[in-house]
Amino acid sequence: MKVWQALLNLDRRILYLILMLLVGWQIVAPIDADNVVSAKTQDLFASIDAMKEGDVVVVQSDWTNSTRGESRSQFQALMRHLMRKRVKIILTSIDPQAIEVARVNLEEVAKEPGNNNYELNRDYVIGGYFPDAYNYVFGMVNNIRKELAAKGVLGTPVMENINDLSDCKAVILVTASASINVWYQRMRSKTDLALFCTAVMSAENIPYYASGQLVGLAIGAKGAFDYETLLEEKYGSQDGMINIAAGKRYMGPLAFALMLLIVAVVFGNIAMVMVRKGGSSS
Amino acid sequence: MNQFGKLLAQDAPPGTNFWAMERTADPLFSQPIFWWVVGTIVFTSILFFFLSRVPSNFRKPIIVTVVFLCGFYYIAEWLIPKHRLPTGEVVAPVPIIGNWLAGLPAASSTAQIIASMLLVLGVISIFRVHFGRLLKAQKDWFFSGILLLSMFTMIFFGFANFSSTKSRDVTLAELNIAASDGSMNQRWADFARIGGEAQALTNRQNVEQDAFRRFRKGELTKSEYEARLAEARATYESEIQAANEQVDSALSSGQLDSGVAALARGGIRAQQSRSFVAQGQRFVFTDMLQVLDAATFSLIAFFILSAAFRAFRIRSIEATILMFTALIILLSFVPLGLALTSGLESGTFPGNFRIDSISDWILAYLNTPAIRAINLGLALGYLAMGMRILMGLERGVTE
Amino acid sequence: MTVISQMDQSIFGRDWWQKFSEKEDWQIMPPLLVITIGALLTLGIYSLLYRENKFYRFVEHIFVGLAAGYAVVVAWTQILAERWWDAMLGKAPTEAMPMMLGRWAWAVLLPIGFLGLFVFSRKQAWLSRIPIGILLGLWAGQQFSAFQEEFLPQLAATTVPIIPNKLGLVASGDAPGSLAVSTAISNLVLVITFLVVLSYFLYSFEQKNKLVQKSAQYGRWLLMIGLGAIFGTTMMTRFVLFIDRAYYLLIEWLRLGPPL
Repeated sequence: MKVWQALLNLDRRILYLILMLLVGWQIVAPIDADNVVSAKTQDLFASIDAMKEGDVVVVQSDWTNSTRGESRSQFQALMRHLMRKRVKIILTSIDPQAIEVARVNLEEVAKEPGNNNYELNRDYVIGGYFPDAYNYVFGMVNNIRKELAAKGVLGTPVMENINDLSDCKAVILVTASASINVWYQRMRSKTDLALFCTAVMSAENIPYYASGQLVGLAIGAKGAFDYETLLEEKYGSQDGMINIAAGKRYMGPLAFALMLLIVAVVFGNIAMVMVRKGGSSS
Repeated sequence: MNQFGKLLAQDAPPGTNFWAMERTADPLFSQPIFWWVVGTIVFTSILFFFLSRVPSNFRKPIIVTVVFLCGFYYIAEWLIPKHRLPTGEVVAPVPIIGNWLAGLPAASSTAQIIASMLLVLGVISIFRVHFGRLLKAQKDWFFSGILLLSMFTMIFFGFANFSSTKSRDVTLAELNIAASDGSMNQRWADFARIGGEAQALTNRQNVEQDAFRRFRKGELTKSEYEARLAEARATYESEIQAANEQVDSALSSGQLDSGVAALARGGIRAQQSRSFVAQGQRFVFTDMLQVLDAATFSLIAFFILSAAFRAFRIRSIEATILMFTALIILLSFVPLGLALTSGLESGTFPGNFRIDSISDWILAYLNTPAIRAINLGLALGYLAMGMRILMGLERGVTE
Repeated sequence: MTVISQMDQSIFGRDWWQKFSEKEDWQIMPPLLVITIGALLTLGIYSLLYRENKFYRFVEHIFVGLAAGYAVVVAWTQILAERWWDAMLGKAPTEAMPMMLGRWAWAVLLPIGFLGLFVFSRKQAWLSRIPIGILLGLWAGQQFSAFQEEFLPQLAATTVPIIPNKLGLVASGDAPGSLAVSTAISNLVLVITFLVVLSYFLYSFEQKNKLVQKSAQYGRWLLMIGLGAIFGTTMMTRFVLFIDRAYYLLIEWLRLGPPL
């Protein structure tokens, strides 16, 4: 009886400490677990895997370091896949800081072994930052060359055969905000739309995957891990390639954190029931 | 086109266009555009002065009119049929109106410009409060001082770095011109040397990082690790030398080839990003503001955990449903949770009871329509709110 | 043995402390010192978890100051400089760039923006409603097309077939257009959920009809499924954010384990 009452009155700081210790332990010495890849990520991977060398995609990256935990591993996994397929990239953003973060991460991945030494203007262009999402999407859909004209990328090999958005194989967003909504409104089915989003945004975006407006969807750190798993399946035998990264590294701590949450809720409820039972009998 | 038409056609060529004026390299105040701008500001300010003198019963109609006209622009843009050709030209039943409606960027710019100005005014009021506290040495004046100090540090580095990137872009554009006619000079040589060094440094750091990672994972011994570091340093020196030789030969031949131009381009970027202001901006933004941002957002994990422990009670059907769904979704997001049912063969009947299948089904067939219904409810609310604002019925706006 | 030599690299080893003075010539601060400052700020934020304290307030004020300053920088560099100042005054031609025409009418927005300052005035506060009214008017006007373009397709996607034309389960070789019983049932669930949750939202007037009352109650239950999913995914994001911070502190700063 007293035990349950004590549990109910448990200092929240003890709970915090347990969470910190669990996560800290798992960060330093993570436990492995096999993955079951979600169908949404599978579709996303398959649609990119179907592209051929020389195809072009638009990658719009709208995350900064404040959601680094989920978005960075997604972005890096996507870049690895595109680079190994030699798919050319038009990199844009509607967040002023995100474009710089994306550029740094892209260059970092480009230098890894097996990623074909991607080079600015030959294999990818930086379309840069666009302040107004609505006008930017409108411009990209209606006249992509005009929209990118001021960015000094038109003469590059990447843009050679791109006269309309439908010449691009896909528009892929890696985002931590609702920046995809304008694309839903304005895309007019010119090309495929794919999304890497944070977990917190998944509930509002799954309806668009269900309706076919998205060809694929990777959600949060699990989505990144799924993508990394698929990369490992495809490229794991080749020497030196980095396939598994933060997505997997964060799964161990996440599992333990969630377990703690579940245990906390269960014990909170049991304690309440027990205390109430004790209170009514005495 | 008649005079009136000219006045309205905002896309007419310069000279005949009433709205656009040329800008030359002369000093700003000697040009007509400057005086038109000053005149407009003075004229509008006088107009507002008289506006502030109108009797108070005119105030509400004035605001309602302004609000309605602004909203009506988007409604007209939406309802009046028009078509934008691939060339960017707009075809509308009435060309003059079509031109103005195609000025959609102008409308959204207006909103963003006014919002930014109001934002700046908001920051000014933060400044007023804290500067006052600091001057009068009121309680917590020290914290106000810290706040103002970090605010001005950010503003200083932000603006300094902004102008430094602008001049970098000018230099890059000049380099592009030089690269197109192939003329080499000492200036590009200096940049190319910096670029060669920066490139070599990036390569070296990548090797070092990779070696460090392998060493920490136990794939390399300490001596192997140190050997790799030494090797990276040797490669670094030789790469710099190779780049310098490339630059020297370009300098002696007077030809700016594409390889040296690429080096110079890298050098221009590296010189900017190594400048004091760029480093300062990176420090206050990336290494302080973003770190604080991430830390603050992650605090919520703790609060949710403690709230779940204290308040998440299965007292009603609603709470039970909510918790059960959350549990299934949570399990489906971690491999350890998925491992519970991964023995069931997918594609068969029992496969439907795998956690990932259940979770996918819940998300697709229960969560999706529920979210859609919520969205529709919200959308109807927005629509009603929009109508109320446009008709001047929303008292918070007009009074 | 390797473990010990690896620990040399962590905060418990000599190498880590040496790194405090290692930097390239052009760097102002050694990278490790920069991370240390960030880590101390993070610890300052986390100290709130123990209790309210001076260190936390210090870091909090740095945060607010930086964020306010950043708002000004973004307002000018990302919006006002290009879309207002340059658009208004134009740009003189340079060697690399052609001339940009100046459109003087943008100047009108400066006095309009300054009307916002009247919010501090007691007599003329109403003038500050003009810039706000412009923003609200533009927002309100967009709602009509937004409804058409964003929400109507969602309604269309909810009208799914519910009468099966094929017995049994879904198979990969099904002809296009065939609808298995299992899918039809799922679709029926989808349509019903949409309708009952929507009926729950009809709360603004009294629900006298028995059917509507019942359906609104089921609607509330089904709504909880949606909210449960949102709750679950929110937890996920917040936990991963914390895990990433733990990585930053333990691996990037203290170097207690192998990096990615």
